[in-house]
Amino acid sequence: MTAQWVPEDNELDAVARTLEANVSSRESAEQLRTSVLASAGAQNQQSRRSPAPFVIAGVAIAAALVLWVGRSAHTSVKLVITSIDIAQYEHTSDWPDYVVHLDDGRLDVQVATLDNGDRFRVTTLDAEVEVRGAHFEVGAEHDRLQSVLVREGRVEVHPKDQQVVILSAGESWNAPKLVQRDEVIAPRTLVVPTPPPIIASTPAVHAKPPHVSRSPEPPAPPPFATPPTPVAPVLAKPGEAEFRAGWAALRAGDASAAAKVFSTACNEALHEPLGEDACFWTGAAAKRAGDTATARTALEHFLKQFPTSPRASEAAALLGWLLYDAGELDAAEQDFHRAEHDRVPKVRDSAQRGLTAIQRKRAP
Amino acid sequence: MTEGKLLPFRRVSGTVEELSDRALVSALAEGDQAALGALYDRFHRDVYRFAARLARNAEPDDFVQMTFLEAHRSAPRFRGESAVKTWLFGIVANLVRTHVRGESRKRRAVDAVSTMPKRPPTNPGEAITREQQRRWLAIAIEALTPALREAYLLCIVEEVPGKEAARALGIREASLWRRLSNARDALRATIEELQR
Repeated sequence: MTAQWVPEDNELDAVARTLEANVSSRESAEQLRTSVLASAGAQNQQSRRSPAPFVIAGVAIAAALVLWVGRSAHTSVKLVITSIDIAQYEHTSDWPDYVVHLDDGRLDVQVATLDNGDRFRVTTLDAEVEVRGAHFEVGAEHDRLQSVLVREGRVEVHPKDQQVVILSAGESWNAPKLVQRDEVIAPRTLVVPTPPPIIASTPAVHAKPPHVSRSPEPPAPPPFATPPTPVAPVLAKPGEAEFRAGWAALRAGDASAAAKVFSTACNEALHEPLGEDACFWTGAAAKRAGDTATARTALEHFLKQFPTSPRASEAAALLGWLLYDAGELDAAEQDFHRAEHDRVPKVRDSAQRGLTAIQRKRAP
Repeated sequence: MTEGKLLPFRRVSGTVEELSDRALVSALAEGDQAALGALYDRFHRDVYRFAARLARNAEPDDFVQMTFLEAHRSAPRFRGESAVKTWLFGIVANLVRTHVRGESRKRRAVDAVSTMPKRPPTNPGEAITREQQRRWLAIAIEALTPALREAYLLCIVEEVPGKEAARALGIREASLWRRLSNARDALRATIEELQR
């Protein structure tokens, strides 16, 4: 009988590890090394097309990082970000909703006029700065927005529990410093003697709009003893007030109330850029509140309305866990698969944990 | 948001040769060209070997160059969740996937199986040499589908831990184990066919 080789796994693998490997000659390796370094040097000189989101670490003093993004054969550069001194920031989302999260330090940002449907935002834990074409500086400290200075164009500052601030060229915004419970002293550089009716100040926080500076050297602010009368904003978008109220509720720990208010904002602003965030947070807040039925409906609605949203994978991961808890493993698995390659590590990890959990549950 | 705090990398002293693999990639992320050279010096043989095995009918040098250029480009994204070598292997696997056509490759591999001379009749009891086993196995690996081949080469031949290998290939660990199991079955089937 002819001998046959029928290897078990161990033997198969052992033989595989003894397979001869190709090696390159030393000369060839050296030539390749030179070629790699030369090409990499050329890569550093050229503008790069960014096919996928990437993370940018801050750089050392006097070595500002210039990032060129979105260059194409037909359009000029869309965005330039320069780190001023040491900055810690991260690119968390790509076009059409380009988001840079700023932890610490200052950035100089130049954004070309965006196409319809594109957004550019700089976020911190407590605020967002959004532009559609501007040159501005933005500063943060410990993940809190500290300052915005506009050189060209128009910038919207969205502090999370305050009215939106619209800044034009030459104007700046600085974070107010809370000194006592109901008293605020605005930063020295920021008071306008006769402020314009642009900003609505929040009761018990500001006496008058202290954020906007129109002159290069604004006078020192007086202290404020009594809460001011709020000034209505000039620009009020549908659902905007509800969205801010939702954020305030969420930060106050009342996720249930937040979900209700976000839901209103979602309905009112469904066709506005704000609507996408509002609809997402309806689901996220409801889940946080333990209202699984509302969360599930809201997240399914969000995914149907905004399937290409940068938050779609995150919503899918959240929904996946709701379905997992309900025992709907097949549906949960689909949602986790949707999220497992998201660019945000926490979303990926959550999805992968979900898939592992499903596998364990299915194992005999 | 990232899992840990972002910090700019600053090497205050020492040469690149003294840096750990991960510190080397961090230096590369900051644009340190010497770090790229050091990374190449440390890993070009591994990358060449893996590329040669994974894309047997393509020129490994091309993949080596593309791998290190891609590493240079994507160094800022490296999170240190896997060994640097595994990360590089993942880049190789991605490049091979997109640059080599799976179907034509499978066709060539199948042709390789069908044209391989069958084993000559042997005397009963004749032992199969290890050399013969390696030849059959080499053909059988070439005949694997790209997904099974990359999983098998990375995990078994290059001995990358499963969790890291799964991450490098962008698949779940459970999927990786399934692919390995399927790969072994396919290898045995091809080896059996070669022995008829």
